[in-house]
Amino acid sequence: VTLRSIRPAIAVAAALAAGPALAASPYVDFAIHCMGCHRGDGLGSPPEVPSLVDDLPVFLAAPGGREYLIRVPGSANSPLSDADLARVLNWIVGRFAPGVTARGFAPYTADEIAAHRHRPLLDIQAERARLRAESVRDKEPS
Amino acid sequence: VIDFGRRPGAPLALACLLFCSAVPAATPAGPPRERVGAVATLPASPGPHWMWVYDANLSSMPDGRAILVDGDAGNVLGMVSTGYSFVSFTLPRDYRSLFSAETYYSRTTRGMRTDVLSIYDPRTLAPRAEIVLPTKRASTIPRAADSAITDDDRFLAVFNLTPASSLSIVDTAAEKFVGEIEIPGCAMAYAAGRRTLFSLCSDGSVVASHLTDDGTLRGRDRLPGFFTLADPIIEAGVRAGDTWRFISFGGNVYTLVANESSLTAGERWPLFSAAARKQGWQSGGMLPTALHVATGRLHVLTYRGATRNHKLPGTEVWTFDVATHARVARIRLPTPVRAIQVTQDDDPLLFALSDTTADLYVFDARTGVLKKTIPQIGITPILMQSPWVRP
Repeated sequence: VTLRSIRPAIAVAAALAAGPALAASPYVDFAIHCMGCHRGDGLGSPPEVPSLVDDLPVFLAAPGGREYLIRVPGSANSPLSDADLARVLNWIVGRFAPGVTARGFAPYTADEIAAHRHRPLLDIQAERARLRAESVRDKEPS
Repeated sequence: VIDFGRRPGAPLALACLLFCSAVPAATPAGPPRERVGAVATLPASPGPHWMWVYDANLSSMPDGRAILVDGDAGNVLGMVSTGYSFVSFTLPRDYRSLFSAETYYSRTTRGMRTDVLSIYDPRTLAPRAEIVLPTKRASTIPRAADSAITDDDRFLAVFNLTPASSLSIVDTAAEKFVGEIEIPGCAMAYAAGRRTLFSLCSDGSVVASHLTDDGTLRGRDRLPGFFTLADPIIEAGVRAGDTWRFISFGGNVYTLVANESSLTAGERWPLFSAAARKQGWQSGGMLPTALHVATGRLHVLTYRGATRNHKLPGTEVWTFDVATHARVARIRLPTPVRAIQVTQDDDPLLFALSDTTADLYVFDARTGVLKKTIPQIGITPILMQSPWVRP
């Protein structure tokens, strides 16, 4: 076995990432840029990879929660354009936090992404702890 | 110094002797007969032409190994078994210990995972101690910056990827794990002073983590826009004092001046002329650069081919003067090579690992003359490191 044998897999991954035709849907963006860690069912691997199902409603009910979803490195540093990032985040909220959508979630826009994307988060654990502490999610009637 | 009798290092050293005896000797009469049970001890100070070769053994990942080579004699001085998904040693300047971030499973390929920082004695190559780490160390294709040690040898950082990225910090004086430092969106660790490590980030920035004297996080600096996705840099950096140099996919040298007080982007210059670029010349390999610090000679593995194949092995080594940016030498390699490294003495040797045969070539770095070939040094050796540092 040499290094050569793993190169085809890398090449395939690179081709998938680069193929413009495949980037036509937010699901494909999710599959390429998010699902590797958050998993197809959005349950992630807590505590390192938060569960989208459990945490999105909590984070989005806290001050700064909307911005956090933009600023977290997996979002901010992805190769997606501002418009595509807005689109996949809206898709994620609709898919994994339908209750949030039902309560009148205002969709992300490319302008909102651009406004927060380049403010790096360097202390993620503390920000997550703050969001959980300040979230009003648990105080709402469900 | 030759010791006899049972000692903790005997199995490792014995494996070395068996391995050593497989290396063809220079005399037609064959290798000298060796006494079974003879255990050699290495000198306390490394030779200027020694080279550690790190083999992740990708065909059997629980069985990584580090191999110590003497470039003058062209033989193997010793070998260490280093566990699952091995990357490299982290060598302190005083060379009193060999640090190795390692992973083990209780049933070898399954079961309870344990990550440790093993500490080996550089004279006997026997394990001397181990420090248990969080079971988070990144298991990746080996990269030299997966661990780093501060310039005073005190704090050692191991890169974690869960995929949340962080550094496990170890106090080498107390021989204990201190804690973790988050480096969100960033990767790996490079030394930049007594209490500073920096990491490269996926948005093109550089983030420095400054430590306290206890090894906890004192503060951070961030340099945005050091590189962009349009011309990504390769993580294998070379260092001369405060100055780190990285080459990019596009064949440019990016310079970073990093120390305890600041991060500054320095000059950026192209390795390849327009004519060379037109011919398809570019850098290649897993460890594509090696810098001889005293002379400012930057050796770069190169090959001709389609762009964006920067991991493909090099067919030549091109040597540049980092002061003038001129190419000053060119070495044609016997087979495609995946990694190069150079010693730091005044008669430097350039080591090159064959991608096809795992042979280790030893060149005179100044003349390009091939001096030794050590056949099949390992299974999938990827990284090399010279233990000798200029006093």
